[in-house]
Amino acid sequence: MAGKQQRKTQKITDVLGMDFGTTSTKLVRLRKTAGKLSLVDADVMPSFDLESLPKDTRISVPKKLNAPYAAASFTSKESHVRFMFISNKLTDQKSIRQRVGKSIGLGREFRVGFSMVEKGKDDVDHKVLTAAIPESHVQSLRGLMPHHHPSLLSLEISGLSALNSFSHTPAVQEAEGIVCYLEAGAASLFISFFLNGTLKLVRKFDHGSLYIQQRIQDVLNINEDDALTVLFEDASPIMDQGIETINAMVQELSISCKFVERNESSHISTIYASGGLSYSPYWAYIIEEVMGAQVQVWNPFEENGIKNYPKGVRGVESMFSPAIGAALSVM
Amino acid sequence: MNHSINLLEPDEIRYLSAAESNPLYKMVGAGVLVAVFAGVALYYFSLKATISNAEDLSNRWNAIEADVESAKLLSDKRQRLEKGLQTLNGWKASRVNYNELMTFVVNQIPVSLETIQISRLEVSETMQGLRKQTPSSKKANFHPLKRSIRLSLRGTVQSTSPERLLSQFQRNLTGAEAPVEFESVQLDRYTQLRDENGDITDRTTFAFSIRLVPQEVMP
Repeated sequence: MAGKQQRKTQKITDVLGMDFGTTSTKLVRLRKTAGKLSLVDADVMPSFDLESLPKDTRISVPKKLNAPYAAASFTSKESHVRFMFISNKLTDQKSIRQRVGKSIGLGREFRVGFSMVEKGKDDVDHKVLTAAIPESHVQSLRGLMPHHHPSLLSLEISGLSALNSFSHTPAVQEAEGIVCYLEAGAASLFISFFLNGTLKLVRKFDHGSLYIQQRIQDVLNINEDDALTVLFEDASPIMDQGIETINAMVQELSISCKFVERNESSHISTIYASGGLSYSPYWAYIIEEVMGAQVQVWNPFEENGIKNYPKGVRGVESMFSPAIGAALSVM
Repeated sequence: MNHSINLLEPDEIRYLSAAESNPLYKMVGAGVLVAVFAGVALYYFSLKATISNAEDLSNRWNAIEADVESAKLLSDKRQRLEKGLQTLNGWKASRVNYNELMTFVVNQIPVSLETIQISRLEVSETMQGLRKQTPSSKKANFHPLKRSIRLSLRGTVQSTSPERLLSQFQRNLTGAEAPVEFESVQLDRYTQLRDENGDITDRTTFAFSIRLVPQEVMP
C-alpha cells in the first residue's frame, strides 16, 4: 500500500522494459520527456531457463540500459491467459478476485491477476482478462533482478504486455471493423481482437515458431536449418505439396475469429503481428487464409512515436513489442 | 485502454528515493561531499602552512627583536640629528660675522679713537614671519622666516662740532661697503653734556641704530 501511495507522487519516466523470451531476452530502455517517448538503447541477451536457473543467478544489465526502474514480461507453457465473463453482481475487487481465482481453477502455486475489460450492466456480465503464472516463476524472475537497481515495478505475461504497445495507438482506436493483434513468439501465440478500441477477446496458444519449425521438420523430414529456411524464407517445398502443418492451431484461430465476428456483428479488417513469427511469410500466409485480411508487421517503436532506434533493431522491431509494452505499462 | 496485469504484489514493489533513481542527485551529492572534503583538506593544509609560517616568523622575530628595537632607536636618533642638522644649515645661511662687522664699524669712525668712547653695544634680533605651529619630529612646517638684526650703539665723543662729526660717521656707515648689508643707519639722538655750572662742554653722548637687511633662514 505504501508503494502505491508513493507511486502517486513519483513520476516514472525512465524504465527498462525486459522481455524474458524462450530464445532470447529483449531489453529496451525508454525515457519520457515532456510527454514524448524516446529510446535510450535496446539490446538482446541470451534467454534464461526459469525451470533450472542456477542459484544466485542475476541478470547483468548493460550500463546504458540500467534505468532506475524495470518492468518485465515473460511467457511459458505454464502461464495462463483467460478472457472471462463473470457476474456483474460482484462489485468489489476482493470478491471479483476470489471469483477469478476460482474460475481459473489453479492452485495456490499460481499467482493470479486480472483486469476489468468491460463492466457489466443489467444482464451483461463483467468482461475480465485474467492472467496466471507459477509462483516459482515469479520468484525466479524476481531473483534474477539486481539487488537494488533497477527496481522491478511490474511483471506481466509477454502476450499481454505487448498489447500495451498497441491498444492505445490510432491503429486500434481509429480503426473500422475488428482489429486482430497477434503476438507470436517462439513458444506461444497470443491473439487479441479489438473493436472500436475495446478489447473483445484474448487467447493464448502454446504453438509458437518452435512448434511450427518442428512440424515442418517432421513433415518434410528435413533438418532444423532447412526447416528454418522454409519457415522464414522459402515455403515452396511445403506449399507446393499442399501439406498442412498446423491444422489444430489454424482451427482454433478460425473458431476465435468466427466467435468475435459473430458476437460483434463485424468482420476482421486489419491484422497486426509481432514477435519472431511475424517475419515468416509462410505463417503470414496461413493467418491471411484463415482471417481473410493481410498481416502487417507491427512496429512498436514508430507507432509509439520513437523515430530513432539502433540499426541492430531495424528489421526485427516487432520482436521488442512485449518489452516496450512492459515499460509503457508503468510510465 | 490499458489492460496490463501486474502479477507482482504491492509489497514486492519498491519505489526508489529521488537520490536513488536520479544519478544526477548522486553525482551532486558526491560532488558536494568531494567539495566539502576538498575544502576541509585545503583549509587544513592552508592552516597548517599558515601555522608553520607563523612559527618561522615568530622564531625569526625572537632572534632579531633586540636588533630591531636597537635599529629603531638608532633610526629615531638619526632622524632627530638630521632635523637638527637641517635647522643648523638653515640658520647658517643667516649667520652674521660680528667680528668683521665690529671692525667695519670702528673703521668708519671719522675721528681719532682717542676722542670717542663706545659705551654700549647691543645686538637684538627678531624672527619675521614666525607662525604658531605644532612641533612634530615627523612633519616639519617651514615658513619663509627672516632673521632681523638691530645694532644699538651708544657712546660719547669729544668734539666741538659733534653734529657734523656724527653725521659724518653716519654717512661713512651707509656709504662704505659693509660685510653685511645695512637696511638703515639712524642717529637716534645726541646730547651735549653740561658741567656742574650748567655750561655746555665739548663732550656729546650719541646713540645709533643700525638695522641689517633681514636674512632668510633656510630650512
